Amino acid sequence: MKDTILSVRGLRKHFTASRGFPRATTVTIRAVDDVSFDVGAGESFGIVGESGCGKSTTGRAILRLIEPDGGTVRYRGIDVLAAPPGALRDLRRRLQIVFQDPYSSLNPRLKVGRALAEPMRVHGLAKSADEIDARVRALLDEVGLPPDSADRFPHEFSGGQRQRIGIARALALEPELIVADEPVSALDVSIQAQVLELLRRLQAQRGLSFVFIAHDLGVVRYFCQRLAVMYLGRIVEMGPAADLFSDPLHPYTRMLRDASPVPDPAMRGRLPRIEGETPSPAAPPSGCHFHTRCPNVMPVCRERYPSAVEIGTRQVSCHLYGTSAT
Amino acid sequence: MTTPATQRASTDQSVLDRPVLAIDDLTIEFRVRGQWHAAVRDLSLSVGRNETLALVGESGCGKSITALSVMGLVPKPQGRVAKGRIDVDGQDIVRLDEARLEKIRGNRVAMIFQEPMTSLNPVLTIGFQVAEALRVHRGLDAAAADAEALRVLEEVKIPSAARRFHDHPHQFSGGMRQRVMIAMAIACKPALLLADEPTTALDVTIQAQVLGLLDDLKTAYGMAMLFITHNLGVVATIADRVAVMYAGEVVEIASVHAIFARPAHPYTEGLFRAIPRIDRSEQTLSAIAGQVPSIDRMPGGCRFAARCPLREPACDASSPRLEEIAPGHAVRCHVRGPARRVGMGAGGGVGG
Ligand SMILES: Nc1ncnc2c1ncn2[C@@H]1O[C@H](COP(=O)(O)OP(=O)(O)OP(=O)(O)O)[C@@H](O)[C@H]1O
Ligand SMILES: Nc1ncnc2c1ncn2[C@@H]1O[C@H](COP(=O)(O)OP(=O)(O)OP(=O)(O)O)[C@@H](O)[C@H]1O
Ligand SMILES: [Mg+2]
Ligand SMILES: [Mg+2]
Repeated sequence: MKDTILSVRGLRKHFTASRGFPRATTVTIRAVDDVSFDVGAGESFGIVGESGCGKSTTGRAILRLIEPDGGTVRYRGIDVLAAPPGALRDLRRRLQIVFQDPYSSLNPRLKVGRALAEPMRVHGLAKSADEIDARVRALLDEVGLPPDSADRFPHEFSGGQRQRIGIARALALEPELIVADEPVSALDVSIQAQVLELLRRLQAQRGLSFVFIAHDLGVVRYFCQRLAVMYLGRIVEMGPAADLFSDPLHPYTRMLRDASPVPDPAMRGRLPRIEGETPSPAAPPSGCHFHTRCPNVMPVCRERYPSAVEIGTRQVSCHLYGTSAT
Repeated sequence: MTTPATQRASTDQSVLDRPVLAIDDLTIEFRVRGQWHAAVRDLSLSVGRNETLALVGESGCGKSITALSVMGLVPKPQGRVAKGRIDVDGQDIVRLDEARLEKIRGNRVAMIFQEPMTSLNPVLTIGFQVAEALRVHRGLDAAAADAEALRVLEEVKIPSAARRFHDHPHQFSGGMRQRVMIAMAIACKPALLLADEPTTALDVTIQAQVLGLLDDLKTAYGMAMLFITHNLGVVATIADRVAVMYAGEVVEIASVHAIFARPAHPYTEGLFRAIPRIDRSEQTLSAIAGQVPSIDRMPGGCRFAARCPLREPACDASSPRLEEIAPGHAVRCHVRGPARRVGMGAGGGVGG
């Protein structure tokens, strides 16, 4: 990997929630539990896994949009979690987020031009009104929206166009790293391809780094060089995207890959038949959390969480590998 | 094996060969700013017993409204079936009154929606909801309906179904709710199942299980299934035949193998080139520029022309018809239609 710019170590975020009726009990949800990874300059790092495994929480905790409970996040050597207000303000400019649903993240009463200009003004990125105007127009052009978009409201745009607005807004502050949380999940294939092409072009032109969250493995394979697979709050396997898909080490990575439909009827395999229910993150199974669904389960899996081992370019947490020293 | 469908239907061979669903020249319109506009135009398709027809296309191209029309659920008064027939088991449901439709809905024809919570009643137990259709349509008494409902919930693999019979929908996970929806839909062993993006909101692991379940049920009951999706991976996994819709029209229809191996319509080709694939590294995507026109701004001529890389003057001049280019493979395109294929020799591949 190229020079690391983002380094996450032992990141942890637990939520408490009340469950049950009539006598509610408080449960702890280990949404993110001891997550560590690095992102290189100009790299797209993917995070995949089933719903509720902690992808969004990880993305938000890195940017301190929610405060993590533990761990460290370093961005170009700066301790993000300990940054004083002034430094945090500067970091907030350099690290941006793009959400799945651009509509809910855009103020419906704000014209697109204003929505793009406001953050520039707040961060003092442009001096005069003319300069801001010029930059707004350049941004719209960069994301492929017509210049008159500046004078229109978000509801006047299609889903794909709104996602371009969301991307333009993230770009307005000249960020270096973007956390993209399911940026194309809500879009049609053709529009999804347009937005993915745009993101790739921006990455090449601006040298942007991405933490790219998605549940469509095809999208991740297209966009990311490396990726992490999460299961119930933890990373179970991490490594180069091509290796992970061609030869998954963790049985969960394999399950995800095999369940992802391939657009080729000649590859049609036997569809999996139903096994038990996916466990709740509030009550993860003992030992390796995946053991209740694992085809390779061994007695040790019920007892101890496997430690991470390095295998070539990859890191995997599974008792099938390594000596699992205690 | 005797399937319930054959027990009830006549054993006359012509009836068995007849498609379960035959839509002929269907046009559905909506009133927009005082004017009627076609959301679905001149649509014809059929689905046979034990067959899955996938209906694919971008958002807004008319997939859901087509399925709703088969249930007799085109919203009134803003919408109407302007012309055409929809034959289910040989009976044209366009001409049925509401009382007769009620008898067919949930009985001979059932539908599963993308978001199960919109069709499950949050205050009723799941057991009650599955049993309801059996009481209404099959006239079973409460005990018999409950017993049959439990059997169906077990068939869709709800774990400890007996214990969870009296649970409410919110106590179930998303994938589990979708299975309850499927249980309600198949309780009366419908001849035709309409599935509108039944797995779009689910994780891939759960999606694969639900697709497997639907496929098993189709085979077990000899059901005809109209499966709406915009995921071409799902199409390749489950469909026998595929109809591609664009702007309210079927632009290509063929067997699943033919459409993936030899897509003829430039829109179909465009869709294939736009999918990022899990089985390919170093891929280049190419997006289809532009977007689907809204129903009150439909261009004359070919509706896809504005986005089409093969556009010619003829494309703006007149609407192409859906015409066969090979047995069972039809395309609606001036450039790729049969007229141009004459010089290519019989059975020639797709040009371009
Ligand atoms: N504010 C909160 N309070 C309580 N629990 C929360 C909160 N936010 C998230 N969770 C829980 O934490 C877990 C991880 O949630 P998160 O949104 O990070 O998952 P995700 O991987 O992004 O899922 P999805 O694919 O559905 O977006 C889930 O069980 C979720 O219910
Ligand atoms: N009640 C309505 N009034 C006016 N127009 C409508 C109405 N319902 C649907 N339409 C229009 O009919 C067209 C087809 O809609 P339909 O819901 O069938 O699309 P779809 O293919 O199912 O799309 P999606 O993939 O987004 O579900 C759309 O252009 C839509 O705007
Ligand atoms: Mg999320
Ligand atoms: Mg729809």
